[in-house]
Amino acid sequence: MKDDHNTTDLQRRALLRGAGWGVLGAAAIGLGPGRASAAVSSQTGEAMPAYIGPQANPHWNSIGPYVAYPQKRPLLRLTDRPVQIETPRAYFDRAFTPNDAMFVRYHLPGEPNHVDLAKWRLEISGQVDKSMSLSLADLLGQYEPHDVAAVLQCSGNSRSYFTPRVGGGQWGNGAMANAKWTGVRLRDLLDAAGITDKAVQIQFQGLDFGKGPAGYGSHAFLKSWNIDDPVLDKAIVAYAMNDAPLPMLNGFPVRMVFPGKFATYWVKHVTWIRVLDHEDTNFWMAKAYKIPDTEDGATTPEAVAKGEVNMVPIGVAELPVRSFIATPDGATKAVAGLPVTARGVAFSGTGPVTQVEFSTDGGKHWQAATLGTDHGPYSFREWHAVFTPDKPGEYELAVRATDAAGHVQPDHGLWNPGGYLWNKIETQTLTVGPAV
Amino acid sequence: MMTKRDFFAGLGLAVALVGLASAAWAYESDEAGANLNAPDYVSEGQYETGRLGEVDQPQPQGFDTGSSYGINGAWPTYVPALADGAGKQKVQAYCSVCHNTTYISMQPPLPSEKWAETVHKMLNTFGAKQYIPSEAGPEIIDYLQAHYTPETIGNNTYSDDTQGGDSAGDSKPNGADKSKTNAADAAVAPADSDSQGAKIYAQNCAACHQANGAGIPGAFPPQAGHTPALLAADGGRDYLAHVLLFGLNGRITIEGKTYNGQMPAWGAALDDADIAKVLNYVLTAWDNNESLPSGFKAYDAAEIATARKTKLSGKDVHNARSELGLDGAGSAESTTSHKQAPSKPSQAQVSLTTAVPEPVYATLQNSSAVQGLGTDRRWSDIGSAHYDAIGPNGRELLVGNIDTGAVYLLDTATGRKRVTFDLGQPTQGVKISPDGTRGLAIVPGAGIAAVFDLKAGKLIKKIKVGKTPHNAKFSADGSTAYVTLQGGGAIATIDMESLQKTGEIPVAGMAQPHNLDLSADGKRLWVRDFIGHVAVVNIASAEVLARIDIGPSHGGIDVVPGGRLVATDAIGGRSVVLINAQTYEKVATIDVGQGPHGVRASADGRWLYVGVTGENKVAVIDLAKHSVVRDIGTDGEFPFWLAVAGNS
Repeated sequence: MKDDHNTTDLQRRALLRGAGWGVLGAAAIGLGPGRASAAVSSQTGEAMPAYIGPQANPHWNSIGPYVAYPQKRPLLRLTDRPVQIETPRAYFDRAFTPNDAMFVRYHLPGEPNHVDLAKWRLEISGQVDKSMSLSLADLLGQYEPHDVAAVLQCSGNSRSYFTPRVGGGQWGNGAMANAKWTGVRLRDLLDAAGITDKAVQIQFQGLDFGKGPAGYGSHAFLKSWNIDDPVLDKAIVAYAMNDAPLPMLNGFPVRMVFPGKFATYWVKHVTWIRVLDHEDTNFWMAKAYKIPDTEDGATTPEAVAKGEVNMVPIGVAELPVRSFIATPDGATKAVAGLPVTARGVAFSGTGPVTQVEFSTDGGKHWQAATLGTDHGPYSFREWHAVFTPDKPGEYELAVRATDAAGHVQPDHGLWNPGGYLWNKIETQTLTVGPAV
Repeated sequence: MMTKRDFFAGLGLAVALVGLASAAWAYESDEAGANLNAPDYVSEGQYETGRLGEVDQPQPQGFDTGSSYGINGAWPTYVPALADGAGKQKVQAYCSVCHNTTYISMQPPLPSEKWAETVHKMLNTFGAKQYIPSEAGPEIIDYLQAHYTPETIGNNTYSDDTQGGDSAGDSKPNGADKSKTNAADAAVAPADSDSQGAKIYAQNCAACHQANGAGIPGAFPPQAGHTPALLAADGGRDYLAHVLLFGLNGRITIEGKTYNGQMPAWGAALDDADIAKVLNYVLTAWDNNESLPSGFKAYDAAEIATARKTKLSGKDVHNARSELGLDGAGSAESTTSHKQAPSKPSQAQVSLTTAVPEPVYATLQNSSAVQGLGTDRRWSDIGSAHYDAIGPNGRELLVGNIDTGAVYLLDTATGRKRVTFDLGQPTQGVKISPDGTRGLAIVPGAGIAAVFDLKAGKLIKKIKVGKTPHNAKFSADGSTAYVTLQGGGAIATIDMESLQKTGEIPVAGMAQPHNLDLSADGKRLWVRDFIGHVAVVNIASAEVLARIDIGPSHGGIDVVPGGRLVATDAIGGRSVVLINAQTYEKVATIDVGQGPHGVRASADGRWLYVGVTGENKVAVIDLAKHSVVRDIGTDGEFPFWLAVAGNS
């Protein structure tokens, strides 16, 4: 199976062919070749709940079972209603994450099962000169398409490495993905609607609702930006992801893309864009997704307990610079005297990534890694490094990235109550055996 | 290379088609402008249990912008078993209104206070209190603290018994007596186990009422063999709709079994059509259809919408149940009638004045009241009364509040609140010193013991005692207070002269010391933990002299005046256990009813009073006979703790 993102004519034709010919129905259902045997017993797959702690998660990924969802390969299950599933490590050896391997994180259990595109409309309302109601065909046909390669990373990615542990989704490192997003520029839509001078914020809401009472965060998920936030000029209302429609669990038919910002703002199934004349005070802005107003977003449990910490929305932060070792992953021994190629990805919200360094001694000495193709400042950037272990033993591999703004990954973890902004240098122990 | 313009030009046909089909949609929105409901063109939130790994639907590669697009079927779920223990069913039922319990099993073991904080967040910040009765909150917290903290998680057992199960009943429930119906007359078809109603039932109802509709005796009432009788009663049709919409709050009896669970109100979580579907499912599943009248008309959304206009509380619905005119088996009991289960031959063997020579002050937590048993004193508006303690002369009663930081000092003669202290956070144990001058209240969230000057009515000191303290006990001379550290596996000691913490006595092998008492000679501590054990600890050496298994969950403990016996119980079970105070052997296990917690003997050591939280009564045990001789119904719910003058 071809996983790599590749913008070929073939794929464009495939997307095109689908358009207008209704491949989405029965033809889409059924077992793909080589995947039919993925079934596990629904009742015996998990005898006991697994947990880790109270120490930090020692694994690269979270520890849930592999589960297969519609339009997805088997991914790592955190929760099942609402759905939260994590991308396994192996997919981070390449710049573009396959659509069916992209992680999923919902807040509310109303994940759409079906959307009738004949009736779906993107509604733009509020402090605008002209309210708009746009069909998917309108978005596809009336507005210039734009692409951006951008990393979608959950705010809580890597939360399970926090010490002391904090509650919330216990993600390993796999709540991130990179895709080429195609869609309409938000700015084009706002220009068409015309923002009035009373506009204060722009609010986004999708089709996913919850069971909680109206007016509570358990009922609706809403995110907003200040009207003058520069990210609005970069934002895309995306209807394609790696040249294919969005999987349902990743926000079909369109989702917001805010390059360089955390995924909480990338509202899925976005259907209502409201220009507000006031600051949004809903739970998801006023209470949730807040980080300490400190230089690196770090604080201590003691400071929080004393009420000394000023908290601000995570929207003020860009994705901190990070890099990962996809292989070797510690599963197999390397051989003394033979070269080993380490590879993975790096990214930053204040990118592009300008340098990736690799260490085989736990960070005492660093060598420059080779960078792969530049897909733009918000994308994963592949890196690889070759080294030859000269004698048997344990090698502590490490990788660290530097971005255009001069940020370098730290060698220590941080702590904040939400479990956000983790970007410690990643390490991997490699066992090297003798050649006989 | 194809250009982008070329690529999207190919969509022309679909665009044209959609242009014709465009429609205006009206959306309901709240004052802030947020949309309140998913539009009609989307179906969402459909789940099905036990299908993980059986789903294989590759992603489509293109759009037809005029088509309905979706996945085949429901989103799959698989919910691993929660730890066995008291409260598990409630956790499954109430938490699953909004999310599956994978949200619990995913977490690392979290400290007790974090779980309490999380549950309060769900109830208040997320509005779950609109579905979940207030008394369930502490039970949910208790359960999570008993099973999902670093100290407790390793002791869990899991019986894979519930939520992964199939949606429709395939086994016959107990009590569904097929012989009383005539299948030939049945004009109503049995439920389709693949129906929407079956799925709604599986997702929302089966955790309590079980997939086979049999319920759990004593905890959750059956639907199989029972619900048709409700429908047939005069007013029953509306009643059923109201139970679903508004919940049911109060004790009921079905087939001789008492149920005192709280049915949540589903009106906000389920729409009219879903409620109609699930009612129709329940009325026709498990052979219930055979008990329906041949002219049975299924519920529809319009009927539920009409029923919804009647705004009722769960209490109102409970009252309506008693008016259904169901005789015997299905009748409702008013919460003040204190009818006793027929299987108790022992009750009322002694008169009330004999059994209660001195007043016994019971906190009625869910009714925010305190009742003086053996007296006509009952004080309401004692918010969420939790632990209480009585002064040496029987005049001052100190009562803590499990929901707020209020601690009340009551005058038992007048019922007046002399002082309301505010500690800012909910309290657990309270105590009055032997000389009546000092009061203590334990604030687990802050790790403190608050000391009051009761004469002056003042808070004089907050003493940091350690992690998650729970209850306290004064030495006979009042010079020392012992405080259980539920989060610290030890007993803290406080010097009451200097008001300083002087040390900790570790309780080896006991993770969560909960309640405690002192031996008659004052040299040993009797410690009851949170998860089913008693330990006897030599205070001087910290040696654990005995460790005794009691049963599930937490409870109270009392060294009976006279010093021969020690009594304890477990809120997750039905029994009081009497222990020989010298040999540490269990000498009796006595069934008192569901959920005993507070346990306190009379000052003369003759009678033992037990607050039976699940049955709203105080059982009186004759300590000479080791048997229940009287049940005293409480005028209010959840009798949690007891204070008896002369046995502090």
